[in-house]
Amino acid sequence: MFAWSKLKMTTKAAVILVLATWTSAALIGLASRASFQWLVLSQIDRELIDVAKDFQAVLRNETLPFDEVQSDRLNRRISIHPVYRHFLNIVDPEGNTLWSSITAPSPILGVDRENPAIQEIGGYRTVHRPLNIAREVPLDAPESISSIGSDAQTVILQVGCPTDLLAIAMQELDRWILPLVGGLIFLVPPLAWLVARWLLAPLQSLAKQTDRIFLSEDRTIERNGNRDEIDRLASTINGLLERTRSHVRNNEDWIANSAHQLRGPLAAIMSNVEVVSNRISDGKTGEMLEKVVTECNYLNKIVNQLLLLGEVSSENHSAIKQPVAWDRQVKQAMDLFEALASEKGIQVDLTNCESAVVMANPVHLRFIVQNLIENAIKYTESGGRIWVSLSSDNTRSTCRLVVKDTGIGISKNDQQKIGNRFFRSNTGRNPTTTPRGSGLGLSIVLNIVESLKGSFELESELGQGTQITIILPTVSANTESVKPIPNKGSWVNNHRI
Amino acid sequence: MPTKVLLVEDDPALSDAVREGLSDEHMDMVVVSNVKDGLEQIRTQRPDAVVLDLMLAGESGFDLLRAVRSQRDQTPILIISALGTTEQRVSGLMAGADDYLVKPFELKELHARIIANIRRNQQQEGPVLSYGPLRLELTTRRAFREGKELRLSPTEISLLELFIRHENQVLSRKMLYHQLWESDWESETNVIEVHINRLRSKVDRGFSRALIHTIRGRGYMLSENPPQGPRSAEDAVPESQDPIASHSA
Repeated sequence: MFAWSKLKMTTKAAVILVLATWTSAALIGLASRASFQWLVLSQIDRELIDVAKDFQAVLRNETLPFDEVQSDRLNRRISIHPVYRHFLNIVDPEGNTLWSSITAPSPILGVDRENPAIQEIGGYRTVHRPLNIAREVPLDAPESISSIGSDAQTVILQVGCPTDLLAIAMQELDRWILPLVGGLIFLVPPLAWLVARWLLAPLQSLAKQTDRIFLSEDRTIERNGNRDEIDRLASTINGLLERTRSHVRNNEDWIANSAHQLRGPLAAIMSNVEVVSNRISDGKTGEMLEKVVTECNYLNKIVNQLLLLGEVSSENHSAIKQPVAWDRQVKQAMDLFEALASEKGIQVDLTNCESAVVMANPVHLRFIVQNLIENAIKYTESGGRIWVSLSSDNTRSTCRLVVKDTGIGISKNDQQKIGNRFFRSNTGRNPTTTPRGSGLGLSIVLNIVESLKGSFELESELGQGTQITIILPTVSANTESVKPIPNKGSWVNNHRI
Repeated sequence: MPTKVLLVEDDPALSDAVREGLSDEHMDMVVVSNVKDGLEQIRTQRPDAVVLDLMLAGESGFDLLRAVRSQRDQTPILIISALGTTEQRVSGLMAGADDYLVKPFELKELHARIIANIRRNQQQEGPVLSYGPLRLELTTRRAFREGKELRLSPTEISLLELFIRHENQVLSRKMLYHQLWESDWESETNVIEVHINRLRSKVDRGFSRALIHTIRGRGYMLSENPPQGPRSAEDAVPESQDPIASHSA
């Protein structure tokens, strides 16, 4: 089903432009054709009247019938404008033709002699004018006709020309108009498309700019200062950004503050429990105290991760960043976790580890590596495999960390929620197969990647495995500029499947 | 002579526990709750180490830190604080603290760090660490037992280094993890058990006496004389089907 409302703005604008151009071209064409026709016709008529006047004057002193010299002269005169192909008939009041130019059509047209207006008769444009002319009556003429031997008589001058002249002129006009119309039909759509794109380009660039803006930084949309609609939209987006940032900031401050408030009492509880459990270690009580310690540790972990989340989200780009050799962290992590994986019967391979220096808080980069590799080990069954690779693209100043496993995978439905705080998929929540996680890990990873202007991509198939790709900007040893990596789509929905 | 430690902490619920816990480890504890009393104690009692909370009621631990260091007093000072970002740690260490521990912490870690800091303050360490029959060359990262080289991975060398530096002390999983991964986010997995088992198989296998001991519910210890009685040593870690699940079980 064709749905107009689902078309892109550019397409709509182009279609409207095309239709408008075609319609106006058609209207202008028709109007100019009509006015051209009217012009040609009035020119023909004016010429007819002029010719009639001319012959009225010329024939005033002539005598009918004309001899050959006279006929010749008149024939030449009538053909003075060869384009019009004028003809001349002289008819007496009874309708008998007294003289015809050689250009006159045969048979001679019927004559409405009383009507002085220009008439169109059988494909000819004609005009009639009365003429007083001397006439020699031939000897054998009937009595009724000849009143006096050589006498003045009123006859009718009929001047005309064929109307096919108009048709020819119109054809001539159409020879110009038709290619023009054809050209318009074919040329207008691409032109309209270009114009529409040009018109909507500021909107596109606004969208692109908005895509590249992160909540974690202070940048706003650049306004063009023209006070046009685009400028207004930019200002509206900036306002929205401002409000959202302040909301997020309040939220993160709240998280950070409450986590600090939690750490004090937690420290007291854990220290007291530790002293007590060191002193009492008889069977049941010892076990119960161990459970308290385990739960406190879990609580502490959530508090720590909440704090980290707050720190990452609220951290502005200047805060505590240093060049970090990420490849060294990855190698260290492999050394650390490879043993764990092989204990579980999983083979881990570092397929590639190129040098990559990232400007970041080293603790944050560690968190990414640890989280991805631990998750891969956690959600892969015995006999599975994990591949880790870190590759560097020096021309684009980026590096790409890929962690791929043959684990249980993530359902399409869960993939949408993966960045949500405290979200754990159903498989991830099963306490008998996997240890208890906070559900904050990937959310923190996403926030770290965002704060470093990187990109995150998740591909997963339930039962087949998961691949996570993280691209981060790198720095060379002597530069500190960091180019943001354009995201595919907005931040929230960039878990490309 | 017991180690004398001054604790400056205004939360009695925490300071009582720290006093009790470290007294159990045979430390001589003095507890004060404000900067003025703290400075007075440092001047009169000359403690071996100071444990300092940063956020005291109405004042800052930084004041004490600066006052002590301005008098060229190099007594080891350990900060304990709920503030744990990298920036906050760095500013604490820059102000002259020797160590920084984020709340909540384990008492055994606090204990181990106090000892390490006092030792570091007293002696300049050489390029070789040793304990009993164990010898670790820090420059070449090679380890030996009774003169025989142990083929250890970098991770295992790193663990052994921490053990030798903290001989006869219980090291928690968190401390060992921090040594290996330089981050406070304790793993959800039993990665430490796995590495300890590997280290132990290389250090102790084939020798009559075990040096690395599991202290149930507390951690691990490098010792020639493992503790007896209720804190019994279990030199074999129980086998588990799923090494990851066993951690949180």
